[in-house]
Amino acid sequence: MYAKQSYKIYLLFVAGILIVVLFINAKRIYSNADFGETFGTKAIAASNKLQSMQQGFQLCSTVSESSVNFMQSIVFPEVMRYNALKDGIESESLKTLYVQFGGEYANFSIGVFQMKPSFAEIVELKCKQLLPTKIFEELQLPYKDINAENSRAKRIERLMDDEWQLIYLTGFIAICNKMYCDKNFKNETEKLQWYATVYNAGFDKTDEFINKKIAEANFYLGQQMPGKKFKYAAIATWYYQENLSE
Amino acid sequence: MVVLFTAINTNAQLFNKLKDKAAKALEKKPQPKSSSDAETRSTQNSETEKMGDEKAVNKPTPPGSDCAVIFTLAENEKLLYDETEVKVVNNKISYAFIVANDKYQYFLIEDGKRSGPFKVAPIKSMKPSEDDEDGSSSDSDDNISMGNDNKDPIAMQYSKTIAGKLHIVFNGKNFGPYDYVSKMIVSTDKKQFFALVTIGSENQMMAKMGMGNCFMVNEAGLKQKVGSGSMSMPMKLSVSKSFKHCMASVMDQTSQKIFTGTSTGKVEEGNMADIYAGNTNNSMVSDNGDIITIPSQSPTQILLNGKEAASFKVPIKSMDRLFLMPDVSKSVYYEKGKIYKADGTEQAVKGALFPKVITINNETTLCYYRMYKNDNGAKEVYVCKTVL
Repeated sequence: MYAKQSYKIYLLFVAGILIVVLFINAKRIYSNADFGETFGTKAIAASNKLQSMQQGFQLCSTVSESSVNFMQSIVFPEVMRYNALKDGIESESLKTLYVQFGGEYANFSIGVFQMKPSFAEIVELKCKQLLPTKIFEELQLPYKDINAENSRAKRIERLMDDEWQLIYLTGFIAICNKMYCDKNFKNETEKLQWYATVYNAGFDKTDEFINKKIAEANFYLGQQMPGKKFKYAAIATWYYQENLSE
Repeated sequence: MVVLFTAINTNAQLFNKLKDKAAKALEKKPQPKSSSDAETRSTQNSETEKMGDEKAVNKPTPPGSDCAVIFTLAENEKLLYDETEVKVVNNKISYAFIVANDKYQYFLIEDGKRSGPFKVAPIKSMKPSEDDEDGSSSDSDDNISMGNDNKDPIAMQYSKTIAGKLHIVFNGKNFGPYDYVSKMIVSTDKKQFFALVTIGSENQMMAKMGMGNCFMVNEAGLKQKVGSGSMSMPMKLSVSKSFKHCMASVMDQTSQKIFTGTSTGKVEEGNMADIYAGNTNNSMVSDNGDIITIPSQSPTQILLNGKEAASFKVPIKSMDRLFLMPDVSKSVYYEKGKIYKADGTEQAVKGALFPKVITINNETTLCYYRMYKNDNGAKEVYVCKTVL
């Protein structure tokens, strides 16, 4: 009688484990397919684009004190959204408005890393304020022309150029290194999530906001990124971990 | 830190090489009006160099009588330009603006109606791309790259080998068999497709590589050959704005000529110079199946099925900025805040945001938005309409 009962309990236990394993695997298979279905083609194109810029990233990684994978992961979600063919009337009118009237009248994403002119302005300013002279000089960000409209036109030209985007990204990471030097990141992944969130949301966001966004990203990652939500830090982390061993 | 500086100094030349590359790329592009604003090539920063100081901005002039306020932003609100959607449907302009406030809340203002707050921006930030979700490709690159590394991802997604033969499987239906699918374009609603396929060739091996008899096919039974010979190489496939027609270009290997054909059967011999110049994006198909071309050697012209239909004062650098009207001679081109008309005239439209050209009461009308900060410091968004 006792043996029969323990046999039943054993069977139930095994069945329970099997159900849990099957559920986890089914969820993983389903979710990976979902991520691939949603982002697959664009992720491959973005990865190829970043690979084509590998040499430039390698040059900049010393200045930004970060690995090529770390740098690429920060911008990977933006590269996925970038459409090189988009040279339409909307972006042309925004560029013209920005040059004429400044960021208050037109602030929009531009170039392979989808940087806003206002972001470039802040990077230029903070690089001057925060970075050691040696690194600041290395980036060569200042404009010779004191005319604001000409500087804005130049800024737009820079942002349309892949190499200049790389230089602004390097400046951004160098600024983050300075701004968050007292922050104890548990590991490189957490640091990446912080930097990626700041890159996406801006320097003016509170620690509370960034932590909330990172928590959301980690929850989304924990769910194997289901659905079609564009969670910036989660996608950046996914790319970072995918390329970690390389 | 010493280690870092040593490393940087070691790489300084390399890093400048990257900048040199960037500077050279900029030199190739048109320069702004001042020629004295070249970046410093020195690593020394002089006092005259300027950093991100954007206080000295021009103020837009107040909007005229052809403009009307559609909404006003609260003091803590800003417009998210990347999220905006302005479209023309049935010759009517509609808009959806996203506004964010300093509490990280988002509002949707759609054709006069305001909704929200939302936790995330409700239009484009939900999408992986500012255009389409995956699987649809109406705005993707039209050009065809041959070879395994550059196969069209959409064609691969919908291709299936059934009983040893290549087919397109679309919405549960099989199309084919084909020897090769070089390019496939799927509508945004995923109900239609156009594809450029190869069926047969002078020899089977070439056919399997995509070279042979090239056909435009679709889900509605289209099977239109492009080019006359049986050794054509697919070069390009594009669709019209409303996904009604497609156009394909092929290179005939025997005659070494480029042929462009549309789904309506219109054919034009292309210019080999465009191919060698890498300029294959200077032609498009209109919604009635006509071939619209901007010749690379005379880019101020618009050719309609090979004949001049319009001529502009400036070269057309991007087809995306060309508003092609049903009467091509009434088409307009937008560049750097100016509207250029096909009669050779131009019109400045300062402060225009998201301009669109539509026909109202048989008149070509420019519609655009304008932002203006009023005397109280509030930002007003206007819609403006100007007859061209």
